[in-house]
Amino acid sequence: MSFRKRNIGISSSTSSLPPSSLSSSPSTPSTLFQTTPATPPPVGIRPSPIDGRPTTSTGTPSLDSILAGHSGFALGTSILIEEEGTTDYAGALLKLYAAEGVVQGHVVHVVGVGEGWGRGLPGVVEGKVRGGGMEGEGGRGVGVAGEKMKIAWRYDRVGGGIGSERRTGSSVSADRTPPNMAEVSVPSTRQAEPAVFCHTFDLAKRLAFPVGTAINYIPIPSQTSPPFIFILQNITNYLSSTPPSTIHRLVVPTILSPALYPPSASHPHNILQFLHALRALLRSYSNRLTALLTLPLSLYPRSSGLVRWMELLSDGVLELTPFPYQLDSLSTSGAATTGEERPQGMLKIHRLPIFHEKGGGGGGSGGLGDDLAFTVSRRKFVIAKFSLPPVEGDEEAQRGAVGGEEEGRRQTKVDLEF
Amino acid sequence: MATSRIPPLLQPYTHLPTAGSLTLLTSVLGASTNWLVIRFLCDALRDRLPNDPQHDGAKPVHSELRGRSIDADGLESQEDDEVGLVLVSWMRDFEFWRTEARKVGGLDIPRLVRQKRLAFVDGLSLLFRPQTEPTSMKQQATLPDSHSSTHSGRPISFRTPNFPAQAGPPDPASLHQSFGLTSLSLQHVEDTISRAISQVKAPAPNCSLPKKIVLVLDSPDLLLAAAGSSPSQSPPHTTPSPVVTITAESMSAMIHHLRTQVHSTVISLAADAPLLSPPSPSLPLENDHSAFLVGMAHIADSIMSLRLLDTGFAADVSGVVSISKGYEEEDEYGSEGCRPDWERGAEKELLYHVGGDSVVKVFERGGAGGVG
Repeated sequence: MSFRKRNIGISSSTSSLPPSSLSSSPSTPSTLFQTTPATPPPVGIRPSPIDGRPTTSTGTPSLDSILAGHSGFALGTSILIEEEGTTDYAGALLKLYAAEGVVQGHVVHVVGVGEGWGRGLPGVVEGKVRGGGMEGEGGRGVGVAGEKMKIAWRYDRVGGGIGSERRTGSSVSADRTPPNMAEVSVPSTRQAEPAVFCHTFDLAKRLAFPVGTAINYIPIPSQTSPPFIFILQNITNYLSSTPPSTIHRLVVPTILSPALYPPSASHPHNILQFLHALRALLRSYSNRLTALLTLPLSLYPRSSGLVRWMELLSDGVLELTPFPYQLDSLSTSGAATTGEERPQGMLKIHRLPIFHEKGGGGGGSGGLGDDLAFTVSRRKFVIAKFSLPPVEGDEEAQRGAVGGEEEGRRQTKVDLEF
Repeated sequence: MATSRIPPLLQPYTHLPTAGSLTLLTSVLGASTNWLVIRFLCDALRDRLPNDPQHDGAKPVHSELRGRSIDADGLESQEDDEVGLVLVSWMRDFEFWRTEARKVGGLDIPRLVRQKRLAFVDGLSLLFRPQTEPTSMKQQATLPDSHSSTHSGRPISFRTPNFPAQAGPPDPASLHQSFGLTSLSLQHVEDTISRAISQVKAPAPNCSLPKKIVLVLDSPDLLLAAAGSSPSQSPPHTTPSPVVTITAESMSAMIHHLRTQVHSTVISLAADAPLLSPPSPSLPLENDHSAFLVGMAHIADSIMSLRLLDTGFAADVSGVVSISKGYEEEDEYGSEGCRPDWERGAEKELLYHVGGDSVVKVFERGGAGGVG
């Protein structure tokens, strides 16, 4: 009986806050919750299992899970995603980040791109659709949710590794009503069900904007003025004019790209002063603002001092290195049937928000030392450990060799006939 | 208590440096010097509290004698002198240092600030924050409005002539009585830091001697990078503040001036490869940085450089700290050959690991991870 009672108590808690074991940490960010006991914490915010600082979701569960054990994007920090080549995989991460913000009712600021970009945000996968077991993931999630004991519920986010992040994301959303409806509604419905930290998105769908949300598109002013001052003023005005409980997300796609920014923007004194001011802004609104930036490495190589300073001024630095050619171009049909998608590239972690600021280097938590690869399918963005299954590789190699031989024979035949 | 948080192998190095010395800490991306700076803070400010009766009453005469004798050696300073610290941080805010110092060394930085044993100069919060311009404010100030249409996405503009400062968080400078840097001008930087030094230097009520000041500069190289030594290309009327030209020479000169006012100086700089050995058409950014860093390294009395493991990632090693001594220190130790290694702080290379709970272990290469 007592066990059942506790069950009820936990599942009907007003927020995603874990019990007092986590909030007892003395670190200051948790004062957000302590100083305002009457109002529930903002939607889409949960304390880090490590030190209780508030975190929000990047919209990509597997990205949340590699952020040094915080299993979320700590508020007041920024992440710079660098991408090699001409692809735009980082753009998918940006869109997921923005879409998660829209769904959670956060204020989303997008720099430099127009409203067309916002219309391309991915839509939320609704629970009932998801239940069918798309690519086996949803089905697994529902099964796990059914089996999971309630006492484990409070720990399931703790140290959520690479393997367990899907379960957290999809299982919660699987037994829910359409989340984009619920999240923007009045707080009374939030009390009825646990808030979703990270929604499951479908890159192939389009986001239906909940009523009352608007993305703040910050245009880059033309050559007449330094662009960054305008951007900073815009965000600062928003931050200071909105109530302290609103959460803001800053999205900066392909910073310094000449398609968007005037040439003077890439002068060190412009961009570095902007990033420094942004850092100051993030620190002074350390309970309200996160920022995600992408940088095209083909234009600004990492070997230059400017990029290194940009990295030093960002809290997190990730590098996407897409494979130069499609690995799975030979066996696209096979990949589709097995449900195992080939990674599109490697993901390198150069720096993580809180972890490296404290001084943690290579070792430690959260798959830092692992080879990570990312896979972008039509529907989702997944970061997973990179491994080449030897048996499969051998078979393919053999098959390729056989195919090559056959082709060679055919060619020689043709040659002969010719 | 606080000393136990400093790894034993590092204690000779984080110990209060000799008078006039310069300690250079270098970092790379992914191996930051913050934990090391915290250790310097803890060592400088550890249990020399003026209101510590046990400490004051223990052995005043003897300690003074001992202090003098050691000072005559020129190696260690008086243990019992008041030590003040001025922390100038261009990359991190007060909150970070407060949290970390409390976690690591049990230091209550706000209290130390109130006791005027520590002054914090904030080079982050206000340095490049846009100046609020009332004229442009009216056009740019917008509020998310629930009445704005959903598909247009553009909020209705909201007229507020004078809004920024009040609704924001309290001014960080007034919050913890610190000094804020608001301009890139080196004269301004130097004046502000000098004011902070003189505030801390004032003798404590129960002590006649002025305090020894340890000056800690966290990432002053940001000034060099963000100022840009080439004049701006953008139209001058649009820049909010006049473009300041900072060169490696002027930075070095400023640091030299500051060093004359304090007991010892600790500087942390970035030493990433792209900043030191840039590609062939090197830009002023890289040239200035490497010139500044190399110049500092030449005049430093000891250098502690952090880097990542060359061999990739390891679960129990965060990075390598290699400690080298300046030119003059070598000679001095040559005459002090009888001193044991651990006391004089020889040049060595150690491994370190920073745990998630900010506990740092330092150990010899090949040694067990649990030693430090």
